[in-house]
Amino acid sequence: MGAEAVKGHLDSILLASLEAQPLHGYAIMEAVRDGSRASFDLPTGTVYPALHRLERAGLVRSKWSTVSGRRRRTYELTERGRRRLREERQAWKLFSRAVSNLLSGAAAGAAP
Amino acid sequence: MTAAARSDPIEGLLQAIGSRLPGPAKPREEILAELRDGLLEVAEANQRRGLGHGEAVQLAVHQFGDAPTIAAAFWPEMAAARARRVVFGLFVTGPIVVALWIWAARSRSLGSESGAFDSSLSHVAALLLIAATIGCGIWAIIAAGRAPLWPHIAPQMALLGAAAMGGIAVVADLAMLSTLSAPLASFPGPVHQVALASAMLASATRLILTSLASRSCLAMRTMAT
Repeated sequence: MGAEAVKGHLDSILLASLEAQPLHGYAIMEAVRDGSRASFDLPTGTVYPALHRLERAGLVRSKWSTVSGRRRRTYELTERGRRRLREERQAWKLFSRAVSNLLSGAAAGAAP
Repeated sequence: MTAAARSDPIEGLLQAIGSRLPGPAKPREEILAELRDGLLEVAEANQRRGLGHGEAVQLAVHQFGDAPTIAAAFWPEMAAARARRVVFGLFVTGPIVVALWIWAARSRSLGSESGAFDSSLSHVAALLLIAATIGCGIWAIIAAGRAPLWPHIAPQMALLGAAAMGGIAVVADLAMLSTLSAPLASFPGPVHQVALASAMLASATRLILTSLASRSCLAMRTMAT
């Protein structure tokens, strides 16, 4: 699955990948790939603008460091980001349960 | 394209992205530094999977995405940065220019009158212009700030606010130059003449720079549509 499949969920996925610890861009992509068991392999370039958007929204904050002579930007969740993640998680549970019910045929079975 | 960009696909992609990121240099450099680190990380990961250096770099560039798409995704950030820069510049230079004009008016011979400067109508007009300038500036800063109320249109609003602020500043500078220069020039005295020349130079310089900045804000705004 590529970028199209996660469209609309990218922000939540990025917030979830940062829940455990601060990460830089590439490490976030690795976390997404590993966490989705390689189902989500995002085009690298799509992740950075999304992270910047989350930072502008106050959901993550970043800091610069130098690693092996290279400048690196690391992101971490803000308190607001953690709150948003909890809300997104709750909304996703309701949504996925509803879709699962529909796709499993439960709704059709219940109809007269 | 530079020699480094021609020989190195990563630098070539970064240069292609950078050329599509209008706005202040610092945020652009930070974006490119971050993307460079990401590209090198991907290339190194490809090498760890057994690819040769050249192949690993080519694949990293391919996996990254195309320059126009990536640059377009950074547009809101660059737009906000440009709006903030223009507003900051106007907020800093505005009081300086006004102070120079006040100095020019005050340094004329005691007891003399300059109708344009002393009329209550000009005071009201000046206050209205200052209020409108500050209002547009605050609007632009709110729209360009973190967590804006309407994130999807905020960068456009920020650029519009900055351009409007610049437009009003141009009107203010034109008004000061056209209504104050001639009356104040008639008063003698070296200090007064220096003060007046400084005020005129400051207004004229700001007028030119502000016109360019406002136009660039409007031009950048059209890039989003």
